Amino acid sequence: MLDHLTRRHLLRAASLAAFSACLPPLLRSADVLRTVSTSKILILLELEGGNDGLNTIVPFSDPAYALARSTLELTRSAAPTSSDEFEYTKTYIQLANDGDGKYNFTDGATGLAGSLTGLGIHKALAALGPAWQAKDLAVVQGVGYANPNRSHFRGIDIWNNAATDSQAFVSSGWLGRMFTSEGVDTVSKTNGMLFRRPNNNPLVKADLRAVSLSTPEEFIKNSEEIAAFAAAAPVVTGNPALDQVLTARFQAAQARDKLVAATGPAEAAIEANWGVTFPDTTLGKQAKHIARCIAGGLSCPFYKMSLGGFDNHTDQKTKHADLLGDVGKSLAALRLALTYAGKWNDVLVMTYAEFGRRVKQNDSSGTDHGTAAPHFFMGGSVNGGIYGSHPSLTTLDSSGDMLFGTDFRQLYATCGAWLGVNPTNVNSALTLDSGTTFAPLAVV
Amino acid sequence: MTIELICDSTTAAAPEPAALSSEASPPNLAAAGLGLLSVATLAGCFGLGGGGGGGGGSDNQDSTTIKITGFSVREASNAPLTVDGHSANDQVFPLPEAAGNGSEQRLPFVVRPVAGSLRAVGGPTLLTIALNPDPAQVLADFPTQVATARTTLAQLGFPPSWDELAAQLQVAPATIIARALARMSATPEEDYPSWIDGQLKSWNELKLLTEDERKAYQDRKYPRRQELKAWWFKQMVQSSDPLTERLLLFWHNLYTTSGNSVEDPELMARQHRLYRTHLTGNLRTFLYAMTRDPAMCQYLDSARNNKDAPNENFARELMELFTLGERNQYGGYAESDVADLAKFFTGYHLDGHQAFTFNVNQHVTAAKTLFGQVRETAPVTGYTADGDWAIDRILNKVDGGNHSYAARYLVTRLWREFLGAPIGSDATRIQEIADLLSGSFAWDLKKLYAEFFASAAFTETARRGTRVRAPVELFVGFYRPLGLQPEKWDGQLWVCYVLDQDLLDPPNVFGWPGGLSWINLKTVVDRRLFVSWLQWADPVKNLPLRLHGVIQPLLLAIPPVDAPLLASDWRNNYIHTRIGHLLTDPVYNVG
Repeated sequence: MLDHLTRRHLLRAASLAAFSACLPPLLRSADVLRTVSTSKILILLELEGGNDGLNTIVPFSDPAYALARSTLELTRSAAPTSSDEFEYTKTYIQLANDGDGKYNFTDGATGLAGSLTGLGIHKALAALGPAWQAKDLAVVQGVGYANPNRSHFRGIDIWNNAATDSQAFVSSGWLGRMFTSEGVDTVSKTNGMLFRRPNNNPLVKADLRAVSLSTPEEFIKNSEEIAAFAAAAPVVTGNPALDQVLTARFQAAQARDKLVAATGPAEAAIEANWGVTFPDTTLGKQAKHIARCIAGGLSCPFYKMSLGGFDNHTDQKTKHADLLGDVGKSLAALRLALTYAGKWNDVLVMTYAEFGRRVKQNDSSGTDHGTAAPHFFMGGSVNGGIYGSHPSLTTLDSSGDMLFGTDFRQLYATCGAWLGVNPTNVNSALTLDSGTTFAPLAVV
Repeated sequence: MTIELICDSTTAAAPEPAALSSEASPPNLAAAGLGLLSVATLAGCFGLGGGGGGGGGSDNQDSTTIKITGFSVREASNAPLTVDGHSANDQVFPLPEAAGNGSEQRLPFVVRPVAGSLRAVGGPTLLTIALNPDPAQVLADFPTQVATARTTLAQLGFPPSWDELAAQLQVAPATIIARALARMSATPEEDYPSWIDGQLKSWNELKLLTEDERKAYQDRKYPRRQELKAWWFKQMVQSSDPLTERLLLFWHNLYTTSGNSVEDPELMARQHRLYRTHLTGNLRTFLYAMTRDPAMCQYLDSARNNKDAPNENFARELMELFTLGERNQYGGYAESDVADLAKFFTGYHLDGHQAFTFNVNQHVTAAKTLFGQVRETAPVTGYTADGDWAIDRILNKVDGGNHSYAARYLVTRLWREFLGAPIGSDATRIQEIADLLSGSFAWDLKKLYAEFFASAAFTETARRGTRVRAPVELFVGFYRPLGLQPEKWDGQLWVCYVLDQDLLDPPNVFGWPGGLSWINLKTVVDRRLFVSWLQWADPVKNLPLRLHGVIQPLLLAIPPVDAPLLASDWRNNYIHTRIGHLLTDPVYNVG
């Protein structure tokens, strides 16, 4: 939790609580956006294209890092003294525990005593500093799986469906399977809100169980003409294309009803009442609308946002820094907003991507498709810190890629436990025919 | 023109098939240009039952024994009589059994211009040929034929206009397919934008420009990109060769390149033209050319693929998305093959003007391996053919049953594009076509299309409307069948963009995933909203009155599912409303 709320902020939070109380009560009996019983909320952030983990959480103390990154190496930040406006694209900040029970980002000039982690975080993610200090941010290192697939499309399928190439092909999403195993009717109920890219998500592919939208207002306005179709489920015609359209229309109309009931505070109110500024970016806007929906009490356990552009085979440096900057600022704003809304303790944010990138950079100042990478958890209930050890940069697989340390399905088990899914059902949703049980991490 | 009446051979005392000549049609009918030749009151014409009706008598015939079973047509001069550009000479149009005295039969027989009456040469008028230009009547008389012709033509491009449809009413689907294939051309009906071949400026040339000139050079990009998209949309709506445009959409989405990455619109336009040239040729030469296409070299980084640290981007997508399919599900290749293949395309660079140039200094000249086969160092064909050698190995790659991976992948992609996800025994048919493609067709793409479109699946009534239409089809499928032009050709581009199909700017190298994934809880809402606006588009007021009765078969592949407007509903008086009702029906999304 934030440990430095000001009186001004507290007053704002109080006025928001009063605002929330005025919202129409949710009709639990026709609850299309929430079908799991807890009030916990999971927010996923997909880093589309495969994030370069080595330049996100930087193992600077390993000499192999600099050797592998001839032009992409990040060096220790000299901030706040640097006058180079592009310094954020070239540097990292050391992750440290200052020995005082508090976590800090330390730069080279003002490194604190205490147990330094030997790891840096990309300077572009500096906005996550307060979350790190408050122990709201956890980093899980070396996340991946055995025999990794380096195709974008198959790779993200594997992550969405939690079934690897060595297993029987599965087309259902891992989150959808957990909901189903809870006895939840996932066929006719909508369980999630997806922003930006509606396809490919952990509920199910070509999904009809999640609303996909740009903004709640736009969805409500555009769907006005179909509102009447919420009344009755369509008759199945047996024509797959037509049934897809009819089912989607029915569910969109139902989801519309829920959104009308709880869109949350107006966009302008976020800044005016909470003092939180979301970046005016694709990701920043997604985070803002998610904050509004949660603050408004929308009964929905799962949100997904996504940011594209991580597939940088050439000239990665500036592009990657700008993307991480967007991630850092958007997540920091989301944290502030949900804190003021009194919901931050109910929220778990997790990042994922189809793969990390290769240890050795290519000849175009970019990186090719790799394997294991670090991912973030954030939330008011998170036990911040570093989880897992960094994969070796010298003991690599035959393609020159890192060997994973933490199976990605352990992250999902963590999410399942967070959402209150019965451990047996978490196991059955993730184990499939792999013969392995995936234990939750102590992250939350 | 001579029109012969074909008589049943068992008929006694029938005259020689009466050679009939038609007189010039009344001016108002000829002006219509196209219509239905109808035979009015047959019995009356031939004096059956006492000579009622509009005929001129038949005093030279034993009228009680005549049985007319059909027509054939022949231009009197023996010049070819054409129906929709194809010879109709001696084509026999069977005549339905006359229902009885005084009844009327119509034939789905369209000529242009249509003659007015029939009579024996030098003799009396035998029957009156009336031009029936009322499409609603044609639809009422020939609903099955209309649906069949509409389905076949829509599969071969985009939904047809009434005139395209009426011209093919009595034509077998196989003939329609053959005609569509014969019409395909590597040259578009309207030229590409004039700037397509303009030389791009090199860095050195840009440095010599003033700041304003440099800005103007940069600023050309966006309007030209939009111009190219609008130009293509116009071809889809107006071309008399819709199959080429439709297949171009398929190949553009297969060998994807995005204008968002390749910023020079000239390169995107040239790639578009290159694909158009090759899509009726041979797959092998198509692939050779595609690997050297500057837009592709930029998009998938061949332009920066160097020998010391090969960039795998192009090699990976060449196998996974363009030719073999994802390696675990389809392609049968190993991860290590990606790194191997990347070496073959090292040095596929661009010069300062962004033209393709093979840079042997950045090419891996050592011996290279692909699928266990060795390309020797210093090959006799030269290093520039290394990539082509790799393409050959990809095409030659076969599975345990000796079936080509590349052929099966391509046919599967075609199937998904035109018919939707394979069902039942489709996989068997796909393999059959694929084996022909890699076998006797020797990768000839026109032979592939002919075989593919001849698949029985295309004629199954149950398959109609089982494929989700792509966003651009929603708009082409409005203007083309109704024969209308938008006020501005770039007017629909932003809507396609909002509906996730930005032409020439697919979201990533996978292209548009298509199929059922076009429909989700966002697009189902937005599609309905945006197509509903078309009913108020200004061009609707130009819709000819005679088409008002056939808008449903023009716009929809199968009957609508939403409740119809009640016959008594006052809104039925407005064509806008009736069009809107069809556009917003869920069925408008399927084809």
